[in-house]
Amino acid sequence: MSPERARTQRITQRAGVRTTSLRSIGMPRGLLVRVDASAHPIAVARADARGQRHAESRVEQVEEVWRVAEAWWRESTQARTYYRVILEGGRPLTLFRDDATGAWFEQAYSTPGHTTAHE
Amino acid sequence: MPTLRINAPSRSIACLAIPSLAFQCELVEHPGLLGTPVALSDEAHSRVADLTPEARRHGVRAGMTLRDAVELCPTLSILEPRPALVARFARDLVEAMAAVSPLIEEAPAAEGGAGVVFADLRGTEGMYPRLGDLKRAVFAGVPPQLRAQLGVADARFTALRAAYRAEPGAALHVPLAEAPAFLAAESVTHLPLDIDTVERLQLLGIETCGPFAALPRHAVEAQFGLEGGVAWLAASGEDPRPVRPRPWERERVVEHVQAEPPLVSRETVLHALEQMLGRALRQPRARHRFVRLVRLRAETERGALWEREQVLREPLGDRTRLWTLLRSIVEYAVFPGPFSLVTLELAGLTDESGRQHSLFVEQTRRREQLDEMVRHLKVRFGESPLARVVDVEPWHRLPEHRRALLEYDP
Repeated sequence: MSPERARTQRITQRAGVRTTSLRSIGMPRGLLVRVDASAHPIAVARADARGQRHAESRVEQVEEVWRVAEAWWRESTQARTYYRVILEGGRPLTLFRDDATGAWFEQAYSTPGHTTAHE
Repeated sequence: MPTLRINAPSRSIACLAIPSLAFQCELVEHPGLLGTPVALSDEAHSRVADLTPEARRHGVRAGMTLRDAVELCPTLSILEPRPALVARFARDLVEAMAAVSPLIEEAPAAEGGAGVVFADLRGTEGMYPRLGDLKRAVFAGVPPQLRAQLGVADARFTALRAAYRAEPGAALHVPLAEAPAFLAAESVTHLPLDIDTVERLQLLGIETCGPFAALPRHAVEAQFGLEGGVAWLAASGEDPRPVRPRPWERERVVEHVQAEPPLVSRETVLHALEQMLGRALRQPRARHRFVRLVRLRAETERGALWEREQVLREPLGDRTRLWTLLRSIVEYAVFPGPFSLVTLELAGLTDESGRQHSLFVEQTRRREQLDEMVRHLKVRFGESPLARVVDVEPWHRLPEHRRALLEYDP
């Protein structure tokens, strides 16, 4: 806990301060992905909250690939490779690979400042 | 044990002082630095604003550039001032004095500013018949590490100087009869005089209050006018200036919100404030009353303080109009960083208003119905089930940082 945070919490206890919380919208959701030799996704499957794996969907087409590196000058940088793909049946999906851990996630993505998501 | 005089003239004034509050606050936060050379920088982070005796022994002086100070004392620890922290401790001092008297005045800058608080003790003699009782009541609300000093006297100037001469953590009472002797050695620079007048006195060889008070009053007034007369009385232990409380400000309601994570965008600050305003106006003390002063205060995690105060030309009791005012304050403000704590204070509550109420209150009623419904739901589910979507960092490249749900808690 940072000293600043500790101080703020002391104030909270003393003065009966209400706490307001912000819950982020659009958090990434875990995805099970099969990749080819180039590490591009070739099939995806969702898992529910209990870890139950759903049926796998084949990736028919990779429409776009882009990379987002946030705060790359810091040690704990967040680097992601996003893919906008078309699944079998024509359903679009945006997913990304966390370049630090290799884990895959599904997340709607729009250009900053726009509200329409690519999915 | 010295006792307070109960019989007339009962013009007892108490003064609570912490010389160099900003520095003491930092030492409270960094107790390991006690006994080491430490300097507090000014707000521009370029010069020494205050220092410990250990730093002084190395030749460091206030006003010196930080580079020169470090050259003189390589082991010098330099602390940056944190206005939010200082303001918070200053409020603690005011509250501590408010525990013994309803008539409180924060000293103006000429008398020390933040860190010096006066209280009018008239009428409280029965509650605090002895100095020890008063000291305990005042010091109960002050963190002991701040080493506050309490002065009690029959006049304002005497009480102020007594506070500065008291030992840290102790109280000093100067009875009226002893005041002239007590003040005799005080420098004339402390008197309520402008710099030019003080310089003239020094040119005349008058350096302390004793020789100044020995002058005939009419001669001082002839030379220095009314201001000189007031200073002469102060130097004689009979300062006529009263404690000037702002009692109407004591009638107030305060709402705090701690934000986790800190509020980054203006929009989230506005949403938080809108809810705070609703809660403040629903407090029993504010119901059906009108507000004369609005004070907004916000702190960043790093201790920076943002503060705005607006005295209203006419008292307002209407939520919509108060919100319009608050919004305009926030929309044009430049914030020092993301806020972790926001405080809204509505002060000067009054029953009077010269404004005719509107006959068309349908919109207000709908809003109240919504708030009432949310409060019922909150009682039932333990938390407000409604939330608003607010922009947090809409420019952020990672989608989860752009928007968030802010709990709707009226």
